[in-house]
Amino acid sequence: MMNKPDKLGANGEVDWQRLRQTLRWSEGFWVTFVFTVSSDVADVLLERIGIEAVDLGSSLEVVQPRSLQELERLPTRLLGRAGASGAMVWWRMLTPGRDWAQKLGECLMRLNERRELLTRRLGAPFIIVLRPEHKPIVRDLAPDLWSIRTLSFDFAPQRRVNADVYRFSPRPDGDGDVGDVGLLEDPIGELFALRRGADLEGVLRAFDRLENAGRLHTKAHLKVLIRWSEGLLEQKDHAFALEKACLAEELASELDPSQLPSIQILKARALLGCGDDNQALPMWKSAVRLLGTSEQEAAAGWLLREGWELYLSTEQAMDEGLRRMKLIRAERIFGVLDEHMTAFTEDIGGISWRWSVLTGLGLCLYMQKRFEDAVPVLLGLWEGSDATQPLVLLNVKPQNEGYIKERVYGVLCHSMIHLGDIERALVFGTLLMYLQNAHLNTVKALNATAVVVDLASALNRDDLLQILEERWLLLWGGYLARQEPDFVDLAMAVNVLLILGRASTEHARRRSLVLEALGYARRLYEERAQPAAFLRKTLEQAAELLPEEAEALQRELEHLDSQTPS
Amino acid sequence: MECIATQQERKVDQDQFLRAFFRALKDEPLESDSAKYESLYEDRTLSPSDPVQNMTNCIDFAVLDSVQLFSGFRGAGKSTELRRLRHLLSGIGCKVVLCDMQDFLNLSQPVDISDFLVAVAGAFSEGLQDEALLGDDPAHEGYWTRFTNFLTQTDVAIGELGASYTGVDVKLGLREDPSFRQVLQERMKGHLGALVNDVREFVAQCIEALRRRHGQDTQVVLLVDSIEQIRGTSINSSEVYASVENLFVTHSDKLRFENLHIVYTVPPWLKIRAGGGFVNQYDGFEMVPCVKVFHQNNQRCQEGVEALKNLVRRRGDWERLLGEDGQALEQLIMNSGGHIRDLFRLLRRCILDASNQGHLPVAKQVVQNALDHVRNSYLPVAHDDARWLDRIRETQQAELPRGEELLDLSRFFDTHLVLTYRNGREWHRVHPLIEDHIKQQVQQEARRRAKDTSP
Repeated sequence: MMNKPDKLGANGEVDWQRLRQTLRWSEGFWVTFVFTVSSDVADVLLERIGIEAVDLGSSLEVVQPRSLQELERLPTRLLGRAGASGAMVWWRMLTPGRDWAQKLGECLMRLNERRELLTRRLGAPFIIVLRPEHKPIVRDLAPDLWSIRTLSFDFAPQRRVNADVYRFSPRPDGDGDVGDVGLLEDPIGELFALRRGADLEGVLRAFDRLENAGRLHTKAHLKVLIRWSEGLLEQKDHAFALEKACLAEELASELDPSQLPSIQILKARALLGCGDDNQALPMWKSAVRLLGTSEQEAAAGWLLREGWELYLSTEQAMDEGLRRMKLIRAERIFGVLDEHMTAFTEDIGGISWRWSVLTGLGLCLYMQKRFEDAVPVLLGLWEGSDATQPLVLLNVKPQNEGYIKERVYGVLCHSMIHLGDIERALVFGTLLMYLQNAHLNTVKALNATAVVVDLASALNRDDLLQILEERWLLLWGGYLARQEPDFVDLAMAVNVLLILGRASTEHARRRSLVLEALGYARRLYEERAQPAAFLRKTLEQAAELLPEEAEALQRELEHLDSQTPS
Repeated sequence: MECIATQQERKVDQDQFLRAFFRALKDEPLESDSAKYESLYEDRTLSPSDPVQNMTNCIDFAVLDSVQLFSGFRGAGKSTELRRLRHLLSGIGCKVVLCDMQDFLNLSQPVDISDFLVAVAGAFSEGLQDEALLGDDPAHEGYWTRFTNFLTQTDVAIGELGASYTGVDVKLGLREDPSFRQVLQERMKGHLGALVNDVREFVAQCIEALRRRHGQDTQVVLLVDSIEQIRGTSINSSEVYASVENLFVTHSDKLRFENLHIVYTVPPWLKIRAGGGFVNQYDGFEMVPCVKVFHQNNQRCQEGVEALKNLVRRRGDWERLLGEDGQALEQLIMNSGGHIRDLFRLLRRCILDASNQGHLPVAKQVVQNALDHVRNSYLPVAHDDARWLDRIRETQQAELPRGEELLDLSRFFDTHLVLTYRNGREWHRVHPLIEDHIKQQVQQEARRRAKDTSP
């Protein structure tokens, strides 16, 4: 896993080293507080601590209440354990707002009262990640926990415009430089000029100055708040973005209610970034219906991207708890999109919604080992569409497209195995084998081939032949040959025909399959699509499978060798 | 090659040293026979008397029973001293039950004499199950069952469940369910006398059982820990404080049991709120102050500094970490104000930085960084708090303006913004790490106000 030093900054890296050493040296229970406003910083730390936990032979339990109710239940959850699991506990609560702060205080009080029990129940490092403004709450309401802390760490977000960014009241001693005056004359125009110049930092600084100067008329203020929130979202500073969106919502409800749905989408984005899906998704669902078509498409595109980002990040999650949490979150997002899929056109901007949403949902279900739920969703991909339709995904890098396709075939193959449907497992295993050959990924292709052969052994050979003839031969044998396949497909066909031939108990059938493979191999060599080695290998295998042809095939081999030294 | 090998060996040795030192600074209560335990009460300059020895003597000399209060600030070593008390009492043949009230009461709710007595009796009952005391003596009836029987006998119905409450429900209800406690308190109002008698009878039976098993002269001591942690929220704080005061001032007679010596830990603010006179209702009131590193005239108290140096030495070789001249350690000690947890935090921070930088003894900057780090954990301080703290700084008294502001004062104590020392009488001091900051903050604010109000 990659470290992301740029996310912590120089001071943050020094503090990280201290935290890391504390993790390595401490024994048993200890508590430390990490203060940050940035969920990015928290993510980076979580990843690194996860790696440390593995190195230390421990594990990491991630506790991230997503609703006030969950937060309320947290003390019971932590204190009600049967005994110390020895796993480090990472408790993150970065959601801003008075309700959350109040509930946090109550929660900390309960833990503080039961400090001794907490020590016994956890028996391992307890890392509490909070916002800086929560520090007085900890000090005042959980003085024992605060008092016994090993150390505390303040990680500043790297995006921070300046130290006063938290302040909303006008600054009596504002910067007052010439630039301020210029901006205030045509603030929005200037800001958009900066925006077009891609100077996001400059824009954010300007927003800060504008608001603190307190000289914006209300409509301009609303506009600034919306753009500010958008800018912060781009920087993934979700907590600040949420604050700005909330202020914008208040202003818009007085000035221009027509803007409320799009502001609520902003809020939903920020809330989702803060991990509060329970508020974010219902908000998105209610707001998206009120938007125009293009805005709907943009909102849906964003949510789809969030879903995929979450899903793809599970691949890097070291901790099982964190991985599961991310999967559940991604599943909920795809679920919401699935519900609303009919609201959108089949394709938006060249994006196949059906494929993107169902694939995401299916993969999330599969990763949670919910095979029975995953299979119908993934099989639904083929309903009313061409199975070979390219999968286009938002924010998924081009090289990931094939990867996702492979995942779908692989997932279906494994799900079918789990569900005992060997026949269909074989079909998807073969598809996977084809795809991986097509991507020239020899190692993976061989693995898939091994799966297919293993699966075949689960059936009797007659069944196997029938299945392969009906499905595979149709697909890759006759189909590829007749449809003028590209040479990569044909080379793959040679390999699979040889596998089939080897599996065949009926001599005539074996002979037919092997000779067909030989025909393709010779054609590939003649057309210089494959090297001599490919034909040589095919000839050797054919001689082994067809002893009566061995002599003739040996002569062909010698001839080949005379033309091209091995 | 040899040189590199030597360097590597030195590095490994240094890492091992730092790790062992870091681990030795773990915050945990110590038994008095632990190698890490340093007695801070032998030197009379530091403390006019040894509070734990005083309590032991009181119990040893009392004819039948006694009730004492024990107080102290967080991190001053109260839990460690309670363990020493248990050790000393066991040494003179007492049977000691140490119970932690956080297992029996919700410490953020107002406490009433009825639920407090029930919780104390329940805790005592559970503590006696120790093999060294009564173990599984079949004749010993657990208090929780007895209490449910008491409810049935007195026709006291609690909530809709009435008498169907089991002992487990009662224990859980006391700790987890504020409404249960509220109903219990309400219902018991007319039965307080009966409840007190029942608890006394139960305690008497327990003591009888103990004496049957361990000898008729056996002295029984109950140490009731964690009551000092009782604290309200911003919503119910005044109610909670009033309830604690009511419990220990008005009901002191009900907290006494025949043939039983009891020590209750109480919050330090109780004496301020109730006035010093209330302690006369008890056989003793002892307090664990911070280790005195300053005299009241602001001069260094070298005995305190030396005691803390010895305390640190028991955890690790500080000379190797901080330098043999002791200046860096003394700088840390003076700035900790004698608050041991802060001193340990400062040392831990120095060790971590030493590990990253690889130099021993650490540079002055490392010590300064550690001081800045711990200082920052106390900041920011609100202007109102700063003004009050500045008054405390000047007068060395609590300067409680009104009773309602006790919450703030207790917050100062809880968070160690204010430290308490004793030399015969108690005096207070703002934590040395923020003293200058407080002074400057108040001066700046005063200047700003003057500017704002000037024509």
